[in-house]
Amino acid sequence: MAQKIDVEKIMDEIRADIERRELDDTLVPFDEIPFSNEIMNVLPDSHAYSRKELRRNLLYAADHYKVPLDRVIEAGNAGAMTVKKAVRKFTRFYIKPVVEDQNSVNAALVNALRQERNYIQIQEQAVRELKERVAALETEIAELKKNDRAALETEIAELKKNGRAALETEIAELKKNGRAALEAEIAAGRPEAESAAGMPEYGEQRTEENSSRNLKQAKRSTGTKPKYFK
Amino acid sequence: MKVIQMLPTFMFGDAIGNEALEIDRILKDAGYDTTIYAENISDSIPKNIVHDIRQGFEEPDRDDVILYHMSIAWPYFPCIQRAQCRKIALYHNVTPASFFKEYHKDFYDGCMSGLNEVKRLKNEFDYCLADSEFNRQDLISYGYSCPIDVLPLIIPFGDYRKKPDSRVIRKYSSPNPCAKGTNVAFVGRIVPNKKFEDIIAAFTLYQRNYDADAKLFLVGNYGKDDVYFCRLRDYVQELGVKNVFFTGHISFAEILAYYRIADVFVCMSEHEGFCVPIVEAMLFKTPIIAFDAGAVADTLGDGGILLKEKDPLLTAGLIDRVARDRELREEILKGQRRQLSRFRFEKIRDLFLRYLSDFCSRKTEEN
Repeated sequence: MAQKIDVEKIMDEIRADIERRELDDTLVPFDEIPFSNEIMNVLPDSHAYSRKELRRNLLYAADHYKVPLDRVIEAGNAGAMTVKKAVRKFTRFYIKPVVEDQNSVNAALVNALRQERNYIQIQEQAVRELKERVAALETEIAELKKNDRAALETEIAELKKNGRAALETEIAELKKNGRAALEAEIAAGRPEAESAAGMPEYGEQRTEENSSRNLKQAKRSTGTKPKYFK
Repeated sequence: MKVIQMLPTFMFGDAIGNEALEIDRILKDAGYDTTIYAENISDSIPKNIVHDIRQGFEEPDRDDVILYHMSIAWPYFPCIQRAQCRKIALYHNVTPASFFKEYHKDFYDGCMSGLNEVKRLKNEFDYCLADSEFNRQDLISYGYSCPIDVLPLIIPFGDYRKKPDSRVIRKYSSPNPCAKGTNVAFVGRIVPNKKFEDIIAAFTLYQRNYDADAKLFLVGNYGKDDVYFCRLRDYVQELGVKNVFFTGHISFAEILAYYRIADVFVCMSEHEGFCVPIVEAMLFKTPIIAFDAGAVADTLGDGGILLKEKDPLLTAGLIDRVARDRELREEILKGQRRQLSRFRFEKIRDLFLRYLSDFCSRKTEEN
C-alpha cells in the first residue's frame, strides 16, 4: 500500500538525530523478565488446569523434596548461639525421624505427580486422536447424508414421473376403449345411440370433423338433409 | 428466506459480537427475517436478541442462509454442517497458537483447534466474506475454493459521538501536543500477540530521551492473575519507566475519553485480522504509528505511518517527530481521513447487502 508520506526519509532523519545526540537505547530485554513466582503461590482453587503450572510445580517439588535436617544457625549473640546449638543437638534424636518420614512422603508424592503427568500426556494424545477421528466421522456422515438424500430425491422424482406416465397411459387407454365400445354400439344400429352419436358433448366445440361426421351419418341413415340442432 | 447468524461466543464489547449485532440491525432494516444463535452469551446481552443454541436450534429451510462467524473451534458446528441450506462464512481470523504457548494453555489449545477447524471446513461453505485481504489470502492458502470477498468490519461511527468521560479528559489532557507531556495510547485486550512489551520499550526510550513527562495509556482488559499481564507489570517496574497506566476493563465513555486525549496512537501488534482500534484512532483524529503485521497495512492504508521494523529507539524518535511536527501530523491526518471514508458505515452496509443479494441470486440460478 503506497504511502504519500516519505517514511524512509523521516526514519533516516531520526537515525541521524539519534546518532548525533548519542541517545541512550539501553533496555532490559522482555525475555529476561521471569514468570512471576507469585502467580504460582496464589492460585485460587478454581484455577483451570494448566500444563505449564503442573510442570513448574513438579520441577520445584522434585528439586526440593528432600528437606535438609541441618540448618545453619545465623551468627549473632555468642550466648544465644550456644543455646541454639545445644537445643539442636539435644532435639536431633526426635526431629531426625520426623524429617526422614516427611522426606519419604515428599518423594512418594513427587513420584505420584510424575505418574499423573505421564498419564495426562497419554490421555491428551488419545483425546487429540479421538477428536480428529470424530471430526473425520462427522464429515463422512454429513457427506453420506447429503448423497443419500440426493439419491432418494432422484428416486422419488423418477417414481413420480413413471407413475404419472403409467396413469396417463391407462386413462388414455380407458378413454379410447370406452369410446370404441360406444361407437360400436352406435354402428350396431340403436336409434337412441345414433341420434346421440351425432350430438356433441356438452360444452364440446363443434369442429369441422364433428360436423362432417354428423353429416355423413345423417345422410346414411335418412337420406335426407341432415338435421342440425340448434 | 431467513438469515441465521451463528457464532460460538457473544460478548459485550467484543468486535465479533458487535458486528453480529450490526448485521442483525442492517438485515432487519432491509426487511430480512433474521436471528442470532450463540453458545457463550454475555449476561448483558438481552435474551430476545441472541438465542442460546444449547436450548435448541430450529432446522433451517433449503432457501435460508446461515452466516457463520468463524473464529475459533466450536462443538456446535455440526448443527451447521447438517443444515440443508446455503452457508456463508464470515472469517475473522484465528490468532496463531504460538503466541499463547508460554502463557495460557486453554487459549493455546483453543487457537490450535480453531485453526485446524478452519482448514478442515474448506468445503463446507458456499461463500466466504473476509474482514481483510490478509484474511482472504489466509483462506485461499488453506484451500478454500468457494468465492471469497472482502467485507471490512461494520463499525457504527455514530456510537463514537457519544459523550466521553469528562473525568479522564480533565485528569490527563495534555495542554499542547507539541509541548511536553505527550499522551501515547494503544487500545486492545492485554494478550501476547498485541506485543505490549514493544510499546512499553519504545515509550521508555521516548520518556528517557525526548519527553520526561510523557504518559502511556494501555487501554484494555486483563485478568489480575494473568501471567502475561504480570510480566508486563514487572517489566514496567524493571525498566523504571513512570506514567504507564493499565486501565483494565472500563466503560465505553472512558474508552472514548482515552482516544480523545491521545496525541499519538502506537500499535506494535504482530497479528491482527482487522484491528478496529486503528479505525477508532482515525475517527478521533489521532496520528497512528503501527507495525506492519497481519491486516494492519490493509486497515491503515495510506493513513498513518507503517513501520517495517521494530527498533524501540527509532520508534521513540518517530513518536517525538509525530507529536511535534505540525506539518507531518497534518499530512498523516489527511491520509487517515481518506482511509477512514473506506469504512463508512453506509458504504460497508450497502456492500454487505449487495454481496448477500448477489449470492442469493447466484444460488437461485444454480438451482
